[in-house]
Amino acid sequence: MVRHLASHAAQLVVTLLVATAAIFVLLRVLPGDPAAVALGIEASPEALAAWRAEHGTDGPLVVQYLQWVGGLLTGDLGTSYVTSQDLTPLVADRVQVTGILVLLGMLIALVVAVPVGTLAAVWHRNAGGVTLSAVSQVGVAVPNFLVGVLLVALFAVRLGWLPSGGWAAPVDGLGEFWRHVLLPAVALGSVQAAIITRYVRSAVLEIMREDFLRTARAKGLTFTGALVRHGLRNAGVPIVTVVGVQIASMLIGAVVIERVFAVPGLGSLLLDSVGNRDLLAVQSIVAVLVVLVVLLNFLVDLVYTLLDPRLRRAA
Amino acid sequence: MRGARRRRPGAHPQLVIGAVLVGLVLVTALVSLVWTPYDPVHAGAERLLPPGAEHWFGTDRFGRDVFSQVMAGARITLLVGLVAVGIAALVGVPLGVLAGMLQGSGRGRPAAVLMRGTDILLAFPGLLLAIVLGAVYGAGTVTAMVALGIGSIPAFTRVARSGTLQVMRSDYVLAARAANRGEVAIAARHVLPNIAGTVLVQCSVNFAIAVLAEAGLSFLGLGTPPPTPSWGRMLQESQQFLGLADHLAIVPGVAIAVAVLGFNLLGDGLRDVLDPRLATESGATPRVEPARAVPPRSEPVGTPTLDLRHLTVRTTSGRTLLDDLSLRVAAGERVGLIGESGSGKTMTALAALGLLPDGVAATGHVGLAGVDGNLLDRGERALARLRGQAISMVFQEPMTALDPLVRVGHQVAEAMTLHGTDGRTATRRAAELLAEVGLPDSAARRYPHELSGGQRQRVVLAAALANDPAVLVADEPTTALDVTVQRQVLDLMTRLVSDRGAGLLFITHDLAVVSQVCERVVVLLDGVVVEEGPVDEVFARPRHEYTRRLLAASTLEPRRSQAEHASQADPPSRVEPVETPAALIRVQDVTRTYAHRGQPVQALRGVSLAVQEGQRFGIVGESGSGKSTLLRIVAGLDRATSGRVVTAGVELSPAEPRDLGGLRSALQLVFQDPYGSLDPRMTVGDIVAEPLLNAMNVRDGGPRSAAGRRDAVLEMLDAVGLPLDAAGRYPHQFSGGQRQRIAIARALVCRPRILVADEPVSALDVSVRRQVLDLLARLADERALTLLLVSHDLGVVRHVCDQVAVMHEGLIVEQGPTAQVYDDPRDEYTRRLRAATPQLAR
Repeated sequence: MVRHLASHAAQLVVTLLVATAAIFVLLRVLPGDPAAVALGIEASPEALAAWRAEHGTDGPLVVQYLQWVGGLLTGDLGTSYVTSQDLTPLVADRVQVTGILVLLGMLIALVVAVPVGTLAAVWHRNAGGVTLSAVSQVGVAVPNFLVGVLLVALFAVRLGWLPSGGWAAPVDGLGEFWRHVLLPAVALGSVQAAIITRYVRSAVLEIMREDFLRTARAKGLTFTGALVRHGLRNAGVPIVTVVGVQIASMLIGAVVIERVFAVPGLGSLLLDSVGNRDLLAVQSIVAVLVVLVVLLNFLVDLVYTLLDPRLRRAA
Repeated sequence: MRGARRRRPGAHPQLVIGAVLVGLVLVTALVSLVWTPYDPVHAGAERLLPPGAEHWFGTDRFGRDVFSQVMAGARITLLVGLVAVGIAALVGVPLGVLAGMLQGSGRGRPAAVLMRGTDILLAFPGLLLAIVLGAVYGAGTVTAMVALGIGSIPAFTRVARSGTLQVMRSDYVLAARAANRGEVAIAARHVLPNIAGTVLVQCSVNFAIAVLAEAGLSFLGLGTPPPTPSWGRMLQESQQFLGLADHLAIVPGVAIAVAVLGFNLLGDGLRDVLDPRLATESGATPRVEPARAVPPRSEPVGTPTLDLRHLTVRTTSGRTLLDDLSLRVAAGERVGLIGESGSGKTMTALAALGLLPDGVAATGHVGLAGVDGNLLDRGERALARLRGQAISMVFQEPMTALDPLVRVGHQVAEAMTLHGTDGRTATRRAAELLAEVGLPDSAARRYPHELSGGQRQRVVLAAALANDPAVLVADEPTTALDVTVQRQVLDLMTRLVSDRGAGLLFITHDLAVVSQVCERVVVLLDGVVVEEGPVDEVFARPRHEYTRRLLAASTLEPRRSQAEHASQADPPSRVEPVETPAALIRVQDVTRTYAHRGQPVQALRGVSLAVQEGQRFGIVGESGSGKSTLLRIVAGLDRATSGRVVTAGVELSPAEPRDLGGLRSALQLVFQDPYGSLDPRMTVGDIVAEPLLNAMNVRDGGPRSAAGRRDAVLEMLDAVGLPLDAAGRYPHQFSGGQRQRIAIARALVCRPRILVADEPVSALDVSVRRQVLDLLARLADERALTLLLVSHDLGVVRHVCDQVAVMHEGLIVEQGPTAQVYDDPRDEYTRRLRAATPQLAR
């Protein structure tokens, strides 16, 4: 177990190093001199030199990379070249917003997907199961921003029950928070619900074929009892993996939903920075997202190991 | 794919609907190149018109026709999808195949590095990569395609790797290796055709992902720039007119959903078609003759505890699996139910417990002493109250019969708590029961994977007997176990059942086991009881032709040979291998150590043997004895850690450079599993011809042209007793015994001097087993082959071989002429093995 963890942790570190190096090369090295980008082509050499000195882009690239990574590690994301804002509090604020959205969306997805997927598997031979399966298949095909747009059309424009966009932090009053978070979270979660339903269905179907479920029934459990007591826990192992991977993809996918609902999340900040050609901001936000994705994958591995005793002793 | 062709396309609605939807998008895109109702880019009508006769889907804010825009938008969608999937597949698949082949041929480290490398890409989902590349190089169609393509590489690498690894671990790749085929030939002939299906599925699924991602990017303004129509941007632009013109959002939204749904359904449909588990059975074994029962000799005495009357089991599609079976088990009686695979014996057991799988239903009567009425009429809840309480069951496969996530003590206790015992008592009783089945005290806290197969079967037995049921049904409970373990488990089961005065319904294919365990026997053929009666009577005087055939096939008489006479004239020493220069295979002090999770495992601990030209040499041992390792080393498929190995004059010792060319034409192999050792996508003719494709394997005068190869294949098929039209058919169209004949034909087509057979009959039914063994023996004689036969079954080796080596825990504990070793074993383990081997008492 310790060995297993150590090897995964080592891999995590390597992955993060390579990934941040790739980001650095893509966004800092390839686009050329950020000073020229910031000041324009007509800037004087003196002005350029002064800008470089001020923003610390005059040293060798390796040193700049190490400075940047060191900053990331200590929670210093740098200062925007364009707005001169300190990026750290800005990004931290936005991460919170996106995090709330994603976790709430996943919660909605799981509440729907686990029972529906299980039923779809248990009823896989009759009309009910086929219907559930077909609905989830269609659900997977619907882009989440379409759901978002339609939710706005119905609940904001037609019925006027909820605001069509914007954000209110929970600290500023829970009522307003819920009014603002509900539609984007449902938009994000509903498509995920369809995706996870399909994984739950196939995991449960797989488990239903297992010998140990038959043994459990031979001991005196009903089919349903055996499925609940022995089946779902075993099916849970692959489902946890999927949930982890999906949360990672939702972090990025939330970009689009944030656009639909004008939610000031990390994705919106990323898009704005791209629009402003604020490359240091882009670089740092992408790094934060990549770190989150990689950490999530690592966490999934960990949970997986804890759930399955066969992996626990692998040392 | 071949297997799929036998199924009607209507059986796969997903595939059909998916193909239609994808076709629709494709045709729309193509038509839009030459015709759209209006110009999709330039305005020509009133703004924001609702859908109507003029403009089917209305017009947008500039007065452009929405229908024309959607048509033209299909082009970008398909283009981006196609290029993205193309990039991902062209980069990802070769990487995955390379990683799989490296790992499959024992070079795990470079393979792992390769995989870790592509795993890093997982940190950059396509959408994020597109945004980053868009920031640097500017957004646009090309950026989107490239980013989405790169983002999908890891998915393809993983799929290709796991598919390749599966192929590389198959016996047919081992056979190709043994025929000296190079890595490139293996990749081209075996790996690529076999993973093509899965890669195709991945393409379809990833196309759907790319369509969604492209729409998302266009929605964000990072996709194809205006004025080129794209679905995602149409949706984005519709936002400001929500409530005024909802069709502007709905139309492109539906278009995206249709495309994604189409590709997803196509992928799912393809997966179903390609899933071997879902392939229809080939119907390889038609009923030879209608089984007609002989009248029972005597009614069983005593009141039946389990009473099956006129039990018929049918599938919903109308196939009869079990036809009017009647069977009684009295209290304390042990009844054997005998039959070969497909005879319906497991269905009998499952019907008795109400555990029949979906799609299978029983009629007739199942009665249980002390329970009113017919069990078949009871609901699941009422049946569950009886299961584990009044009637219990032990299953065939101990490795999968227990929940892997729950400690075994708890699984035994559960059998009691389910029937009303309180938790504390159940836990205590579970510990007692585990002790009673001979497990150590610590066993209760163990997880199933920490126990051996035999130990797990003891756990299942403990759970089954926890509530002292009136009847125990045991379905092939020891088939998966080693002989010595089988003996212990059988003894234990018989004792525990007798102690409790319970009835036993014992299901098996093994007549010798039945003769040891049971008092009465019922013989099942194709779902029909053909004969029943007391074991000694039925076995001594079988009345039905099938019983006679089964009995004849079950008794493998010892080989009578010239070797026996030779050994009388000049008895060879028993423990020391015969050292003569003529030895065709010579093994000296060979060890083999594996690293397993960092721990060294000694598979061979100093083994020596010599096989003379023309000899039939048997190696006997249980699982883990090292017999398969030894065989792989002798065949040049694995290397010894130390010692000396010479096969057919080729030096295979660890110190020598590897030059296996000469060996491959001299030695060929037949494997255990006839289902896994033939490439399912090649015709039998191609399979048998494969060794001839390597010129080194073709002896002087052997076939070198395609026509010559064809003749050689036909001659070989005839020699192994297969019809000549077999050459054009595929492996799945043959039964297990026939497949083993195909494997033998492949092994012998290049006329090797040595044939190595690894458990060649252990996966076959009894009646087929004998035929295959006799075929091997006959071919060995006719072709002056040296035969090296590995088996767990002493009887099989005694039937075929004149020399035998007994292996135990990586050592040869005894070797000598088969008859001597068998009749007068000197080693303690050989004696134990012999004593444990079930004998057919007649």
